[in-house]
Amino acid sequence: MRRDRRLAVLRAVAVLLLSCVLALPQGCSFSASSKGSSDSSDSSSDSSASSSKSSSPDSAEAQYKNDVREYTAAYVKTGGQFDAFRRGIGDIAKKHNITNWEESTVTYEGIGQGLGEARVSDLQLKAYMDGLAGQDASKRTAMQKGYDDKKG
Amino acid sequence: MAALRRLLTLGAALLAVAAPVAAGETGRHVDYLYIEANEGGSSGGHVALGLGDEVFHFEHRSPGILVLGLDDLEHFRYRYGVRENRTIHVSRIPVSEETYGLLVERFRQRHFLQTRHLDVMDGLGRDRATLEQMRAGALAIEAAGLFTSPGTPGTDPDLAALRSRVQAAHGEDALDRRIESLRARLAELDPAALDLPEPPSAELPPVPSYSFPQRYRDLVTALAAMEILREARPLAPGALVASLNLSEADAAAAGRLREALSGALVRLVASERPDGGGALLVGMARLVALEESVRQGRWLAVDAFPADTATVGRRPEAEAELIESATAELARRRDRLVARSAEGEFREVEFAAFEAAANRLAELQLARAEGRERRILGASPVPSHPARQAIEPLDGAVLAGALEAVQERQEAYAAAFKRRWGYNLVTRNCVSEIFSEIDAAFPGGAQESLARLGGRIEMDGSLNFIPAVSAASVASAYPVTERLDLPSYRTWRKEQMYERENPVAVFLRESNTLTSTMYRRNADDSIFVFFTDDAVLARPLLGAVNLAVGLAASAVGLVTLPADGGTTLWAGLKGAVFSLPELFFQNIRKGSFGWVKRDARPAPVPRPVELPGGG
Repeated sequence: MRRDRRLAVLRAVAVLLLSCVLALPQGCSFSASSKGSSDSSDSSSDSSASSSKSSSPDSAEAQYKNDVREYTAAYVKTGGQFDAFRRGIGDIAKKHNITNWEESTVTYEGIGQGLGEARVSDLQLKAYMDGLAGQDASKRTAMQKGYDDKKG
Repeated sequence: MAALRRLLTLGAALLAVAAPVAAGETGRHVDYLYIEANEGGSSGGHVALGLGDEVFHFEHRSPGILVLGLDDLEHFRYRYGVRENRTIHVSRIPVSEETYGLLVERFRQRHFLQTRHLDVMDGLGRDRATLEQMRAGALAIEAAGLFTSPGTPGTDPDLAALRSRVQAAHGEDALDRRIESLRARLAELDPAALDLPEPPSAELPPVPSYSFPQRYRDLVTALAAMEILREARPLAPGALVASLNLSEADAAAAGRLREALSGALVRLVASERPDGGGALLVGMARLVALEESVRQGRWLAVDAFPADTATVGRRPEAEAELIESATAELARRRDRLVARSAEGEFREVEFAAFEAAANRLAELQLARAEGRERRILGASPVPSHPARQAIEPLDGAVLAGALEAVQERQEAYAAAFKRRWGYNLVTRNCVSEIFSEIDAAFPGGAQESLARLGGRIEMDGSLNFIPAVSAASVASAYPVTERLDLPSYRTWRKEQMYERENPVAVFLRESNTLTSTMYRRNADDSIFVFFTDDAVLARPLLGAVNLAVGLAASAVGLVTLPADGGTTLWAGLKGAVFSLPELFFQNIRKGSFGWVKRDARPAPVPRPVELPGGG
């Protein structure tokens, strides 16, 4: 084990010195993109068989729900205007190729999960339900389900 | 109080010492991934942390920031192991369920935090662009370009039908009222009330903000969408791309989707959501596409390529394979869409995936037929073809002041982000940040980290900032129970060839870029002849040949500079530079693969490596 390490150090030092000399000091992965690793796969010559993180719609919806959950839980902590919060949901949805986020029960489940994670009271949950789901029973149910899942 | 806290922390740490013992029972583990170097973006190698199926890794991005990326294992393997052709070495450390949970939570939090701040910076960039357009008197409205310009004669029968449904649901004058209301809100907006996000501080995510430029853009977009619906304006020529023929089941599915989407759009018109305009524009275009699909008996998809889409050079030798793969992908997406449509909902994620697949195949076929470069559809292919929309003139001085304020905030935000998460080759890189985050995952910091994981490596004053060194240090400092390898794509393919063919013939044939049957020169690679990652003894000799070839290519590149803009010169110079380590028995360059079809990729199953000492 120690010999392994010594060899790795020697090897790395040699490479590092050479790299420095050659003006190639790029340790770690450099990504030209400012939008994450998915871009690097899509800027390849193969976008037709994209192997992005959300290659299956189920997985894409799960990732979307997760992002909404995190965003909502953070909003409860930081506060801010309610229409700004709603606008932010729209931005997250768009990143997941969803434009009409109000129609997706996944959105409401994610919001409910975020509220549950942030441990808001039942009264606060109801206020969020009124503000986001109105009287739509399926949306309210989805929020309640998400909330119960996370609050436990 | 502080003493009590320290005592409690120490107690927790001591209790946690038992964790590695319990870890074996839970089956949880942390994988430390070391990814070998290659030319291009990572000549010093790379490291990552695998937690279940999720891989966290810090990437160096422009302008000098370090960002935590999150991938699933399959995608990570494809990106680094297949496309970048780099072997991934895994050191597996057993941990308790609780330790695992704390690590996952910490890394996910960090990822979320940075993503939110990067989103805010993107938003500031959009605000700036919006204000610049406002000063010029017109906004580029996304997706409005899918429809004909105002004043173009003719109405679309499908949008006219949607308009009737809207009127039946919300009243005969619903659209007029909506348009009036939007105009009034637009007039009320105060450019002085910018409501810009505050620069990042501490460990808190940004407070959601809704800036003046964003509000303005949203209202103008909503106004454009309502006017298009009120006039039932037809789609612009070229807004749809033709795809597969409709089977009977497809036609029924298209009918169901059309019905569900139409209902959703009727509800959307009455929605008070701030950003509904864009959704309405895209939804209306999709509705027309579905109606037209049923009429024509073939799927039609909305053109999803943005106006400023990137392109890639032609690769005639791979086109047939790409088309075959894209055709299979489209069929998969179509089958899934058809199956899920039975639920009676318009599931946008499914539909968007199908739409994107149809666009990709159509583009591949068209680019091939026209012999041109192919456009790339990004990761978020929501149709966005823009149109310029004239706006009411606003006070120029106020707009100039707003623009200046946005620019200042943009710079302040970027500077604060860089102060907090700036990249440094030695002190803050992909290695140091992983270990810093591991320590931060536990209330007791470094001490508890050591107790819970059974090991710890120091960054200060050591060479552990070098990925390869850190991997060796992890293997010796932590109780690693397994070491695994995910071989690079070329290594994996060669092993397969060795099993089927004469090994000597395979070795000779695949040793160089000229006769290799699996490697086709990738435009990102430098110019070289011999692969030296698997030829240790002959490396200096082969490196000398590579060096000579690189220098010769550079000389040719000087001559062709006016014609190719320096592409050959740069590839030649890189070829020479990356040959130098080979003269000293070191290998960085391994070649890369632009594209590998899905069924030709290695399964992401790691291969065990024998631990030294039989451990």
